[in-house]
Amino acid sequence: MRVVFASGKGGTGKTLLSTSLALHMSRAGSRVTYADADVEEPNGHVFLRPTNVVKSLVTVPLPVMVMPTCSGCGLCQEFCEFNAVISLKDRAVVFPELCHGCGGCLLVCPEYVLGERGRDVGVMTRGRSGDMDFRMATLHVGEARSAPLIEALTSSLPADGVVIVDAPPGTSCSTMAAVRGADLVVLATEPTPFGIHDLKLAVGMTRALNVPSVVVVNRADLGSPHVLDLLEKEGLEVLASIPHERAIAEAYAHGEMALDVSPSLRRAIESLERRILQ
Amino acid sequence: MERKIAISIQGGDSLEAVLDPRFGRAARFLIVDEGGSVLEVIDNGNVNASHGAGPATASLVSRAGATVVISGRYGPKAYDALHAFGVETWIGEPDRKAADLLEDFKQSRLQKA
Repeated sequence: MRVVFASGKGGTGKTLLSTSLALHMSRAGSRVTYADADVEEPNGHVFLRPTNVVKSLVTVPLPVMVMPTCSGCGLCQEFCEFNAVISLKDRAVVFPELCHGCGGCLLVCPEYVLGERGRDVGVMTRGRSGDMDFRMATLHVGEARSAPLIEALTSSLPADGVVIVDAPPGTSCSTMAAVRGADLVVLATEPTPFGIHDLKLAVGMTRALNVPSVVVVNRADLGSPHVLDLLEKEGLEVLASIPHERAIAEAYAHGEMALDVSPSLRRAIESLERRILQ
Repeated sequence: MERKIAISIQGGDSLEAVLDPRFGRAARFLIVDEGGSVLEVIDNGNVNASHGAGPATASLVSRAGATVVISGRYGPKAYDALHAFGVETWIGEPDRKAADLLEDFKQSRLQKA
């Protein structure tokens, strides 16, 4: 069972909910894997504090000249949709930050002068947090594309047990890379115009990817009360609401698990657990 | 051999045209010789490219035979690509006419990017 926590707007509670659910279900005896796919700023580790950490580099393929010269025919440049290869008289020049690593230029090169090497794009971290399996991917600073790293993370996740993924916010390629393959997507939102605007986009994304989604409304007592009506009109299942609570904010700000200090958060997490186990 | 000079312009097809200050996403290029004859006008198909407009535009002007470019700003990838093609990059002030920029270039009054 893979549960992915996503949101349109950032800062609505993905990490609060995903780490809390992971801890709760792990304590209850489920075999839990927590994976932080918010690769530009992963912070699940702040709360779950993994130990026995092992790190490895993640690479994507990058074309390189393996012969010293070529005839400059230009087929590689013509093929590349991303303008990542330009063909000079006697060589091809590759722009790594534009390359999507498809390998097409290698295939079209009639002289076999192109090969591939790995280019580091990020770090994969594995460890343990209590009885939980902890995973996290961290994108290198300055790296523009995060989807390949997220795909490397999600493709390494176990097929069994409860797998909880903390996705990046938004609805971009990187979010979709984390959401794809989910059995359930939990969309965290808040009842503000910004939160609702982006929630609609996020719902559209889950529908386009054909994955079922439920909504958790965080800071439910702030903002506009008519938001909940709007959610129902859209046919969305609101699984839980969490009020704006000082105890949660204080624990979170200290990197502590708010689960043990907030009964309302606990109730929301228990609703999620029931939905997952049903 | 006379050098061919590519000047990025916002529109038009003569030396009266005004500089387009963005190289990679310039609307079009005037290809002129040092005598001031317009040899060719090229529309830049990379204006709305989602990725890599710089290298693609560099390739476009190089293929047109230009070894000198006068434009406003060059992105880092456009700059690298132009230099890989052996094309010189010069900076023209925005809002100036191609004719004046060509004259400035010939009088060595322009700065290299």
